[in-house]
Amino acid sequence: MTVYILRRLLWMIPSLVIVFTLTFLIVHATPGSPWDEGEKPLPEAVKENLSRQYHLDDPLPKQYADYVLNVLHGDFGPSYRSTQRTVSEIIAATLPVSVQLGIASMLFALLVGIPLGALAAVKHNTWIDYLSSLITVTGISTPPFVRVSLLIVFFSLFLAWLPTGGWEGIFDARAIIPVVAIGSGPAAILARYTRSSLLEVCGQDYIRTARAKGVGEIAITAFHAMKNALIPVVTIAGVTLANVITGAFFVERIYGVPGIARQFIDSVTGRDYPLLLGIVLVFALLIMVVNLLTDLSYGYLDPRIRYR
Amino acid sequence: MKRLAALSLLVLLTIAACTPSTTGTASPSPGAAAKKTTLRLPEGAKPATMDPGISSGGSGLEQIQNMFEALAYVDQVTGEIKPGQAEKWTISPDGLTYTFNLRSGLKWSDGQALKASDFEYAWKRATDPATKSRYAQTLWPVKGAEAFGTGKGTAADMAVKATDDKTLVVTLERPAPFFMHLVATWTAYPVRKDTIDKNGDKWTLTSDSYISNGHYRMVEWKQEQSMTLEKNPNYWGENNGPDTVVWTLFDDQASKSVIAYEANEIDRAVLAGADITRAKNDAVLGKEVKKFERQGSQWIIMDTTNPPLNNLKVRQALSLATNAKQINEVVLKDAFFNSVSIVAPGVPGQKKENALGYDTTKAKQLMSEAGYPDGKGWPANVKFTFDGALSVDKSIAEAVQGMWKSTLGIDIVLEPMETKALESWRLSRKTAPFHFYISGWGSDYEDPNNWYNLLFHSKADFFYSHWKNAEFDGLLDQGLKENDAAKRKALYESADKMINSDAPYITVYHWARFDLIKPYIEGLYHYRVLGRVQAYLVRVKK
Repeated sequence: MTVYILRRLLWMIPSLVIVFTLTFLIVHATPGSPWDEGEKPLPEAVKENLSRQYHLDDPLPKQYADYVLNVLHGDFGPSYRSTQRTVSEIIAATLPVSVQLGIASMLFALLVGIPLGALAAVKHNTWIDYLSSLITVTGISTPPFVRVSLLIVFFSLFLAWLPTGGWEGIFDARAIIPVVAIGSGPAAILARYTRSSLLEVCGQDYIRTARAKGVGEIAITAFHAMKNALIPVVTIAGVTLANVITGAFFVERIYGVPGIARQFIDSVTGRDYPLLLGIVLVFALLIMVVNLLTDLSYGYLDPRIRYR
Repeated sequence: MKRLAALSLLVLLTIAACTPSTTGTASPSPGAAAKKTTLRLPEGAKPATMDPGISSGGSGLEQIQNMFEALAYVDQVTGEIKPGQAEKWTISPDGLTYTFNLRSGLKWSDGQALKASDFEYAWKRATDPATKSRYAQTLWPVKGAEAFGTGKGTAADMAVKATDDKTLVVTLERPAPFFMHLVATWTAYPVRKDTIDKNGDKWTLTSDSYISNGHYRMVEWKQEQSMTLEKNPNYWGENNGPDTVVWTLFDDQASKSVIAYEANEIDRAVLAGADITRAKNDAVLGKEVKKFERQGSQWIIMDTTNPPLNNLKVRQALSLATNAKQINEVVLKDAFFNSVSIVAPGVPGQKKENALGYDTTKAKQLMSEAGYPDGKGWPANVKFTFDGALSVDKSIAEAVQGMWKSTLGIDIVLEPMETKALESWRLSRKTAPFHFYISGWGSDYEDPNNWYNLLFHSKADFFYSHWKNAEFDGLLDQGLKENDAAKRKALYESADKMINSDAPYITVYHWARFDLIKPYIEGLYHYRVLGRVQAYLVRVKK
C-alpha cells in the first residue's frame, strides 16, 4: 500500500513537467502581450521597456529555463498585471478561498445528491422519482454561470434575501449562492448515479435474502445496499471535482469571490503568463491528489480491491 | 417527499446556522447614528496598480486621484489648471523653466512634512525604466528625462530639482505649452521615499505603508473585493465630501454594478449595452440615468498606403458614405455621442466645419472618379478587422458593410479577432499592410498635443494609418513650440482641416459615459477628460 502511494506520488513529477511545458508553449504561442489593459493602447517605448524589464524579450528556451529554475526555488515570479503582488502571494491568498468553496460545494453535492438519488431509487417509478429526475436533469443541463445568475436574480434582486456578490468567509450568507450554484451540478450527477446504482444492487440475490429474513426496508437500503451502491458514486464524486473547479471559474467571477479560479480567467485574458502557469500547476497537482484519494477510497469500500 | 424536503432544508439551515447575523437584505451600513456619510462606488476589475508612478490610468486611477494631489490640478467643471500643492508657479519667458512654490505647512497623511524633494524623487522614480511605469512618457518633456527613461542617461541629468524645501525648479527640453497639464497628471504626484524603500512594490497594499497627500487616505484594500478611504485630516484644504468612500471591485463592472445598484448596495452604477435601453425605459431607473460626455473618438482606421485605400477619393467616398449618425442613434441605441469630426469636440484646433460629413451623392461620384463606378472593379478580399468580443464593434462593422454595399456597391470582408490577438495584429501593422480596423482615443489632457502630435504626426503614426503630409507635420511642429494660445489654436485649426479632408480615419462616434446615480447623491459628475469621480465634490444627502 505504502509502495503504491509512493509510486503514484513519484509519477506526479513527470506529469507536472508535461503539463507545465505544454502550458508554457501554448501560452507563448498565443498572440497578444500582457501590457495593454485599458481602452487605449500604450505607447511602444513603454511596452518595450516593460518587456525588457520582465525579460520577455529573452529567447524562449532561456525564459523556460529561468522559469523552471525559479519554480524549483519556490518562486513563481511576479504577476504582470498586479504589480504589487507575486504569483506565490496571489496563490497563497486565493487558493484557501477556493478550497473552502470547493469543499462546501462538494458537501452540498453529497448531502443533497445522494439522499435525492436514494429516495428516487426507493420510490422508483412514482411521482417522487419523476420529480427527482426533473430536478437532476435540469441540474445537469444548466451550466454553473446560468445557475449563479438565476440565483442572484431570484434571491438577491427579487426576494432581496442575499447580497448580490462578495465574500466574507465560508460561514457568511454571501457563501450560499456560490456554494449552491457550484454544488448543484455535481449534486445532480451524484443523484443520477446513486439512483441507478442502488436500483441495480437492490435487484441482487443478497438483498432478496435479507428481505426474506425479514429485515426492514430502511435497514436494507441503508446498511445492505448502500455500501455496494456507493462504489460507482465515489468514482463519479472524484470526477465531479473537475466540475467543481471549472464551475468555480465562472461562479467566482460573476459573484465576485476572491478565489483562485477567478484569477485563472483574468490571467488568460490578460496574458499574465507567470500567474497562469502557477495556477495551472496548482490545479494539476490538486486533480492528481484527488484522483489518488479516490483510488484509495475504493480499497475501503470494496474489500476485493487491493493495491500493491 | 417529506424526507426530501426535510433534507434540503437541513442543508440550507446548516449553512445558515453557521452564518453570522449579516444575513438578510443587503442594506447600507447603519452608520446614520454618528451622521457620518458614506459614498459607495463601483470600480472595474482589480486595480492593476495603486502606484501613481506606475499606473497607466486604468482601473485604480479613481482611488489614486482621490488620495493624491499634484502641484496643480484640473478643475473638474471648468477644465482650468488650478494650484494644488503648489501655491503658485512662474514660467520663464522662453517657456523652458518652471519654478513651483509649494504651500506652507504641507503634510503627508501620516503627519510628516511634505517637501519639494518629495516631488523630485517621485518624478525621477516614475521616469526610471526600472520602475516599470506604464506612463513614464508623461515626464519626457523634462530635460534629460527621455534619455534617462530609455536607459541612455542618468537620474542626475534629469532637470527637476528641489532648491529648498518649498521650491521645485523644472527645466524642459523644449517649450511645451501643455506642460502644466502634465504636471497635473498622476505620474507627477509626489510619493514617499521612505515607505517605498522600506516596503518595495508592496507599499501600496496596506494603510500603514500607503502614505498619500490628497483629500482622502486609505483605510483598507481588500484584494479583488473592495477599497475603503477616509478623509485625510492632514490635507491642507477643506473637504466637505463624504467621510468614507467605499469601492466595490467588479470583474465585469458594466453588468455587475447595475445588479448591485438595484439591490441598493452601491450609489452609482456603470451602464453599458442593453442595460442602457432597459434603464431608460424603467419607471424608477429612468430618472437616475445620466449621460456624460467623454472627450474621445472611435474610428475606422485606414491604411493610406494600401490599395485601394491609397486613393484619396476612395477614402473620402467611404467617409461620405458612412452614416455615423444612424450608426450611433439607431444601431447602437444612442449609447454614444454623434460623430462630429476626427478629433473630439473641445480639443483646441478641432473645428466641426472641417469634417467631411455624410453625402451619398458626392460619395458615389468620388467612387466612380476613382475608377470604381457602382463598385465595379473593386478588389476582392478588402478586410475589415475588429474585436469580435465587443458587440459594439461587431455592430459597427456590420452596419458599415451594409452602408458601403448599398451606397457604393462595394464588398468588404469582416474579420473578427480575439481581443489580445487583435492587439498584436495591430502592433504588427507598423510594417504590414491592412485595410480597416476599429480603434479609438480619449484625451489624457485637453490639449492638441495629446491628439495631433502624439497620434497623427507622421513620426508618431500611433495607429499606423501611414498617412503622411509634410505641410501637416510642419504645422504641428510649430504648434508644439508656440506659446501664444490664439496663434497656436489657429495653427492646429489649419492642420485639422487637412487631416479631415485627407480622411485617414472615419469617425463612428465620440465617447460617452452612462451612469445610474441614486437621487440622494449630489455633485457626482464626470469631467469630459478622464472624468473619474472626485469624492470631495460629492454630497451624500441621506
